[in-house]
Amino acid sequence: MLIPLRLSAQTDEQLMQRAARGSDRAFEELYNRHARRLQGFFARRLGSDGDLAADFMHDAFLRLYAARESYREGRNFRSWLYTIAYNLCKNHFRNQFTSIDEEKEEVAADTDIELQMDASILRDALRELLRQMPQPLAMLFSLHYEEELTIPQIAQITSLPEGTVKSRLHKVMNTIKQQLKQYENK
Amino acid sequence: MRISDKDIARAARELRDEENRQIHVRPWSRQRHFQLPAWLTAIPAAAIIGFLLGFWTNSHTQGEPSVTALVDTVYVTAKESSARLDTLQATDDKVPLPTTKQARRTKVRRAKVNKQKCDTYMGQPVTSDRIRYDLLVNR
Repeated sequence: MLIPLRLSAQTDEQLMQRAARGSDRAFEELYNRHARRLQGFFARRLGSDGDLAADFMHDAFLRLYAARESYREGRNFRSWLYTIAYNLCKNHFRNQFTSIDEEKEEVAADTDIELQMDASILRDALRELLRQMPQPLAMLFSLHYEEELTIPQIAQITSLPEGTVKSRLHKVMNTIKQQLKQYENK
Repeated sequence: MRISDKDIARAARELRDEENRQIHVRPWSRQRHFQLPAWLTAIPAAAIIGFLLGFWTNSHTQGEPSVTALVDTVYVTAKESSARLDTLQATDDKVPLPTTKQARRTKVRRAKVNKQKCDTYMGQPVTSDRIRYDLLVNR
């Protein structure tokens, strides 16, 4: 006898399959799981405007809902969700004429951050560094270290080769460490 | 203190959790605003409006002529069809008589024309007006 699993016990992919077959409850479960984290992602990437982040999160889920029937079995749900989120951010920055040139991937050297190396100060410093970092690099850092997506997933989301993603992440990490090192010996 | 990659990764996750905790997320039921098909809203809306309009017109047409009375009568000329006569109605047409033997047998025969209607009696007295009253009696 087959006993249907509770929605909360199902994986994202199983829920998405059910949503693709027309289950609104399954989609709502997915929303409840990922909405907060996605809104946080938007809040960090777009700035401190909470309403804007909420709107973007809303938009991302509506797009996902509209495209739910095109979901194919085996596709990673989080990759799909963050692909939508990544594209929304990219379009937003493009519309704002924010430069995302590869040339500007240098972090401002004169960052004046007062640091003491305890956890809370480190977080503040990191927040400030990420804010000043060029968006493509900050986005990669956020996807990998904050949203904990794997390098192949990020490569899929950003349409970049895995090697490029790895090297850029390495570069970002080195830059952050270098920036924070200035304050290690203070 | 030396900062490693792990410290930075951990700080990033803590930063994420800290910021996510402060976020207010609207429930999905309030988020979604699906558009119903236009016809699905138009039909009930028309029904409700019609219903209310019916009530409203009823309350204002007491003692007034009905809407149909306000409309001019339209006469339509229809092509006249040949009316069928009733079988009981008198016609000038000749009705054929039944020709079967049975019908012929039931036919009433006429009495002979030259048959004498009364008998004559001789030798009776004649009245002063010379009319034989006794002979006028039918037998």
